[in-house]
Amino acid sequence: MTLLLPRLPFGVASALFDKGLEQLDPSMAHPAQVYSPIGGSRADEQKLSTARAELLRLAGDFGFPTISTESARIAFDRAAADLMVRVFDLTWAEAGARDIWSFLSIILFPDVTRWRFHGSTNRERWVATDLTRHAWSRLWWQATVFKGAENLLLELTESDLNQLLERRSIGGDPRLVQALGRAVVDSTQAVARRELIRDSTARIRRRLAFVDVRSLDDEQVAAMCDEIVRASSEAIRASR
Amino acid sequence: MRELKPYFVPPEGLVVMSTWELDGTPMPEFLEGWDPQTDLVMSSRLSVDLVEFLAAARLPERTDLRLTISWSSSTTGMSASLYSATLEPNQAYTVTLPGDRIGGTVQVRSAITLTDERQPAGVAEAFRAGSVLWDSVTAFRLDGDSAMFPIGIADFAGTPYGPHASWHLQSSDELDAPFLGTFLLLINTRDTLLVEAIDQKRPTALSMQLVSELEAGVAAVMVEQALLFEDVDLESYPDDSVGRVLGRYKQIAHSAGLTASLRAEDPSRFRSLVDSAIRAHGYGRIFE
Repeated sequence: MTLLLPRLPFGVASALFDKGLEQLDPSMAHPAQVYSPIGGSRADEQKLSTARAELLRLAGDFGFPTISTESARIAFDRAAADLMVRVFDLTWAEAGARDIWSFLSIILFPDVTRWRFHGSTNRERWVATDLTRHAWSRLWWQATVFKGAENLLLELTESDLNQLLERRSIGGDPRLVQALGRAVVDSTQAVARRELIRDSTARIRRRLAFVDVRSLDDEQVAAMCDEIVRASSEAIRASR
Repeated sequence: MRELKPYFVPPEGLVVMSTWELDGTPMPEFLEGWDPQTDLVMSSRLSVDLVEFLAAARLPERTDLRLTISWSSSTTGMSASLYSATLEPNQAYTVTLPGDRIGGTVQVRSAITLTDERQPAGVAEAFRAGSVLWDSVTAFRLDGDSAMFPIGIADFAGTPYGPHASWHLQSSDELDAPFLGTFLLLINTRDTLLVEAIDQKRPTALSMQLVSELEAGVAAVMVEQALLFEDVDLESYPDDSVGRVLGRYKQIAHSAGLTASLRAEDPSRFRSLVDSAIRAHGYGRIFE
């Protein structure tokens, strides 16, 4: 049965964040936590404790708790994405609830969250509002959206993923986002990846205004993404 | 309003689609008691005069068309295909929405599209594979019980809301965010009467009064929240987003002459007008 995680209400999460990140100590529960009334079985303290132990072990492999390099933390993200979906078997509706992610960053994993975003006080990483930006929700959703295309996920940077996933008309369709990611990674044109994705996603969104991409077969989706990425590359090069 | 497409599309009336059914009965707008462990099996049928449809779209007689059914979910923004087949003049279809992937408000879209890319013979002819020639969207709500807001119960002693407050509406100014994923009505466990009233299967006069006061209070907060965005076109936000829901409360506010400047100039009159506006819309205790 799928899991229900404790939810830390937004106001409580914001107040704890504002009190200072250094004040946050790991805990298995918070007095103000609530659960969804439906959708699975509640994650008890033992389940949360096991999840925490597994994450600590993984983080340790990448240098936690000592200061580590940016590249080590990015490599940690890829491994942690796998771990998040394995440890937290959630329905998509549950994983869409912002407050479960605030619970993980602020109550269950504050030390690992602090380590992962060393020196950053970016609120979005802690108090979940945007699922593609929060420390832990972004990893769960990355692993979910790129299921079956894990090697492709390894080839994309955090910045690539932000751009690909932030527009829900693209990022909400796993087949489309995988095809676009593949077309971007395979592109041989000498243009900056960031610029290429920005232009390609804008072109796809214009296309989606009148094309139902879900009516296309896999080959057609791949061909559409290849064509759009190629057109973007040419347009970017021509504008130089 | 029908969206303008860069090619000819047939008039609406050429496609007749029956109402979606769930277990043989019309799909309700709200699915009471739904659980994510349960898949939803929905069926419908569609009929279309293909010759007339293609002619109206200025497409050759034997152009292949597809019927595709897909879903999208408001809480996550995720979407996927449920069914895709060559379009027939009369088609019955059954689709299964995966319970563990949907939530909030679900939109089911039926679309007739061009199957393959083609070489257009004239201007404004659809030519890209997947070009939508007709579509229809049905929406229904899954989350929570019959209440509009997801509800959580917590001891307010550990919160910044004050231990003696009965409730708190967790809101958001992220106008793009899904409403059901961000708004949460928190009830203080210390107000045992209110907690019991909400859980009451057989409401008493007292429980009805408490719930009614709660509804009025929440509606008042929503009206005030909506007025924070007086200069924003809230109708431009997606269905079921925070912006769109607040837009409905802004309409309630404006219909009663409520504005942010009135709140600043005459808080007492503002308060009375809020009470009046929300009661006129069915919230709170109604005059006998």
